[in-house]
Amino acid sequence: MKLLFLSILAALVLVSVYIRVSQPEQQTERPILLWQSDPNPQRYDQIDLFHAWLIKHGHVDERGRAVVELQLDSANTQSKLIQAVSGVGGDLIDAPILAFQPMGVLTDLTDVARERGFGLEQTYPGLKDVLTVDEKLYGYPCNVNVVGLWCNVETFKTYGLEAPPEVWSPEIFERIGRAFTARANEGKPRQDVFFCENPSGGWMGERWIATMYRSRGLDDFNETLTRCILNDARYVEVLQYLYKWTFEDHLFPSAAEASSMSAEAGYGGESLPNLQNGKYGMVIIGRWCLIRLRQSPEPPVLSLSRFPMWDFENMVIGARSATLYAGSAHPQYAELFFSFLADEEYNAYIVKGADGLPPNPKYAFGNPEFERPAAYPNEGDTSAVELNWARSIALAEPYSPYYKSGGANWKKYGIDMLMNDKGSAAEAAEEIENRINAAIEQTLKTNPGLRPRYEEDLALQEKIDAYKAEGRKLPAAWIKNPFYLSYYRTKGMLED
Amino acid sequence: MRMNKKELKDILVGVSFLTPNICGFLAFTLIPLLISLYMAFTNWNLETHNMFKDNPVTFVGLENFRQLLSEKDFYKYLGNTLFFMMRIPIGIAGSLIAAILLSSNFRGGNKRIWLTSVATIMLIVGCGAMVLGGMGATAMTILICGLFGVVIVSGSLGGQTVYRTLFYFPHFTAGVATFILWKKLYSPDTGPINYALTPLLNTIAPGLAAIPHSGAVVTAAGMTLLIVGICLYGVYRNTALWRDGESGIISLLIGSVFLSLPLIYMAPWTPFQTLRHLAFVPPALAWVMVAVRLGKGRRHPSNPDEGLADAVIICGAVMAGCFILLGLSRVVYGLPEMAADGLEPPKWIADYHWAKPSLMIMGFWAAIGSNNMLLYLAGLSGVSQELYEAADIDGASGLQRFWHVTWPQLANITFFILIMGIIHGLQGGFEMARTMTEGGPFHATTTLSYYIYTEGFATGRLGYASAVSWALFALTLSITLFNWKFGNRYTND
Repeated sequence: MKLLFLSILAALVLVSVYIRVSQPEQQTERPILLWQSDPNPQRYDQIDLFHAWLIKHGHVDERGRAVVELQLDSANTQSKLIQAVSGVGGDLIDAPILAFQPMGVLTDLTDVARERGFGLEQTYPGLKDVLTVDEKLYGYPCNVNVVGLWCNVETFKTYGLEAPPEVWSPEIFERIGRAFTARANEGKPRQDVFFCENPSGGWMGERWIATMYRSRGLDDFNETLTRCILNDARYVEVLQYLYKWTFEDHLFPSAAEASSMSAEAGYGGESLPNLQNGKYGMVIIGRWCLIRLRQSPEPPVLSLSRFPMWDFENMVIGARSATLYAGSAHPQYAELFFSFLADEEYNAYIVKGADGLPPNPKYAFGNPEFERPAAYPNEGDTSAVELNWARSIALAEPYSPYYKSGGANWKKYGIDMLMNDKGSAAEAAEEIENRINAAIEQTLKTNPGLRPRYEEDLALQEKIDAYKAEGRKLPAAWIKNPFYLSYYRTKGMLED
Repeated sequence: MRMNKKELKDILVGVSFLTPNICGFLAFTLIPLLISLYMAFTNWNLETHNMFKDNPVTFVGLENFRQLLSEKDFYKYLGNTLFFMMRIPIGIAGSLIAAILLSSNFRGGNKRIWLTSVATIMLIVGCGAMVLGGMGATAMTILICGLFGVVIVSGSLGGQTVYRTLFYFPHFTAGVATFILWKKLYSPDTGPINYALTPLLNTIAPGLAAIPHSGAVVTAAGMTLLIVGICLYGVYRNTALWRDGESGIISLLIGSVFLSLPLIYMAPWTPFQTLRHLAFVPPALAWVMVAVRLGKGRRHPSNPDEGLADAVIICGAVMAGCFILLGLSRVVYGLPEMAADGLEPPKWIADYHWAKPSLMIMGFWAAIGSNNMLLYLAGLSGVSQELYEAADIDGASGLQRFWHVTWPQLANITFFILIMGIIHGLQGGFEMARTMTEGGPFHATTTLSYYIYTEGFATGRLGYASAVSWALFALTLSITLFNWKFGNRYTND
């Protein structure tokens, strides 16, 4: 028995030594940068590209090899967060900056960006509020998206309809949608073709809904970001539309119908097969859908429309941003990665590979390979349209530093309440506002350091409310909410 | 006492054998447990307390627990968790029935095998022909019904071994794979369950719609009277047990409270709302019976808590059954009207009202063929045949044999299964919620374990999440202690 025990112990020791020796950092004498990102196959090409870029720009060791080795470490957002706060995060983390920065795990890149040329000037204007906190830069995009409604033109033609317009109001959307749905399901015992994917699900749908109430001049938070203000007739109206379009007009599948339609997903989500097979006329997605559609033997003819909205033109911009971990062992090498992201090689790869919009728009704007790729005539000008939105009307998602959105998604909770007939649209709006404001109180309680600033902002909000009541123009410096800054500027409500 | 060299050596060898396990237990269980206990009394939050922030973690006393108890969501999630635990007694009953069935010999003769094989082949060929003929939906229904036949055929071919293997199958299938499978089964429009239900509902809908309203009323009234009858008989049996000294006063009162609840809830829930002012009569009758019995006194004395666990389990199960019956009576009452526009199958996990029962059905399915069944099988093989023979000599019926021989002989196993079921039930639900519903719709399937996860790792409130965990532990411990004190731990108790 003792002999057996010792043999097992010896075997375990040997295996441990082997595992240690086979660790990546033991395989090379160069420093290793770990990049925590999604396990997209394109990441491996991008890593190779980075190594080539380092060599091209003279960042080499004595043997002429890239001075650092970049390795992919795939992890989801929660794993990244837990690893980061525990001191074992990757050197480079693809992370939502506004969620990670308050934890103190990200490095301020403002000065480095100025030196290395990858700042806000090298990306889209709407991303300022995605990449910065208190005017300090904490990351740079790997790719950018402005999700919209991607339409299968052939499906529309099948039912004798033109492709939808790029810009439309909810009323026009509804009219076209009803015509489409009626024709597509004529004589069928059960509706199996829908005008569009339902927006009451994931984060892309949330952007659609936000776009609608923003077009009426309402945002999730007030001007100073201190309170949620969604218990408002404009939000209620949008929720009513959502309900009507789902259960009365059947433009969207309900959650139950959608779960029946779910096709096995690959990269780009499960809605794409349904777009291709004509079950959906349109889906909510960004340019990255082209990666998968281009693999299809017969890619569909595409057009791109904005979300339906009223008078204030807006869309929502987002990015998968690379950040520098505060605990990185090799920050000097990691900084090079950001220069790479803003440079031509990487952007050309994104332009060609269609993994969203390139982070630096100068490599896309006016570039025929991006705007109308000759190899893919079916794509029309969809990429150019999304780029145009990103450069002109797109704003960051609703955000408040006093609301930590990592836990329960209260907006989805309220919409679930409405969609399951557990409350009216007005009750759902009230519930959402109450829940988010309670979460703000919780944040302030948990983090008393935020309280003084919050009190200042509350006082400022009182002044803003007084000015608004008097119909006076507002000083731009008072407005902390980027949406209201843009909205008031457009409406001429700011002081000169 | 001095140890000699050999003894010392033996101890060192023993300790060296144990060391890896002890190290693992300390590193991954005991120390994290103690840290989480400490965290429950602090304001530890990932945003303000991590290795990149200087803020010290402060002791907040019972603040996290106070907040927990004042948070209405906690009670909702606790309610969800307890709802899912309703499958435990049903699961125990299911696994016991399965074990009893699997203890019987099902092997059939050669002629029977031949006949059933031919029938199976004909079923498959027939269904295939129907699919080719464009009758896919009907074929699916027949095939699913026929599958049960196939199971029986397989059983008769292979005897107990095949049955036992089939029943135990769910247990050695990976949890997440099972959940994904059930998600597909529950798919409202394309899932096999609704695919089979739809033609069935379409067939019966016209018939149900044709039922005169009076017929529905009579049936619903019959079900309501059945509830009254069951509950009153239950109270009568309770009082009789108290009279005979088989249960104590606490057991009598708790059991009677359980049995009164369906009678009390009949007032707001019964479809016969015009008669609701008479709804006080049945519960009043029940308590009059209790009072009369108490007034007459008892034949044999017993401890006040005698038979408490039995009272809780049996009266609780009867109460759950009566509530189900009450719900069904409402459905029956409105059935002709509902069927007039055709009957829709449930939307299962996509529907707020069906999401919880859907997950419970799945859990029930998994529980029947689990380790519980194996434990019961082992227990049944250990029941002395002499006891059954004695029961036969006394002229006991099948039910009496079960109630007076089998059930008491399995008391220790039932006790163990119940304790483990409650512990797993309180801790469980995370994988199901995470994989199938993400706690929705409208938080209908968010359990305490899922809540702990989101609070700890999504919101970052580690102190609060630890407090929820310890509150859950306290709940588990108290129920276990209750069972320990009042449950039938020993055979022949």
